[in-house]
Amino acid sequence: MTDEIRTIVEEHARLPQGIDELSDESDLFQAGMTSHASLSVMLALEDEFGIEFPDRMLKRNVFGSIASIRSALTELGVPVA
Amino acid sequence: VAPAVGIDLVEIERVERALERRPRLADRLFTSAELAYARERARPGRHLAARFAAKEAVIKVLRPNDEALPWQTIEIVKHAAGWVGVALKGAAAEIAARAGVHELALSISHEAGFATAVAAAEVSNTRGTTE
Repeated sequence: MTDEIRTIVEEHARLPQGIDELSDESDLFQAGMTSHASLSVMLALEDEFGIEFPDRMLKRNVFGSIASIRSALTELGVPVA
Repeated sequence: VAPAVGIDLVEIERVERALERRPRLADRLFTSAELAYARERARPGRHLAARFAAKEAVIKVLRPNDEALPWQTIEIVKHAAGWVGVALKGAAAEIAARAGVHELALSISHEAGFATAVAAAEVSNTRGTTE
């Protein structure tokens, strides 16, 4: 799952640096992700994994790092592959 | 009391493309009243983009920390005289009350490919900086 998340973040977060420079725990907002870009990331994750983030997960920290995205997806029942 | 301001800029076509690709997205971003208003206009996407920018500008004033803030809890309302205002519900209203956000005022504009919005308010509770 982490590889897919990293690919989506690379394509949609519009970060100045490459995804390889970021760890799973790196703060994506600190790295330059805007709120609009985080929405793009959210929509791309929903398309990729066939899920929908519920209202309670519409908060900054859920999309703040690769690791936080992974735990949110796991909570939504996406299998850890 | 301290002033707070939020600004946002949205590319209209980006919003239109996202809404076209995902039929359910409109209901997650906008209230039924906002959708009804926009759908009566010649190019609904322009008005929806402006409303999305307005919601994002309001979020920058509210500065939620680790609180969920669904977009539909920030409703952009149009007054008969042509001005826009904002009605906060649910999570947005709770965050505003906790932060002591008063007199939330809004202005939106769109031109060519972009829509923009500015929100301003008086904030009575001191808050940590969020970045």
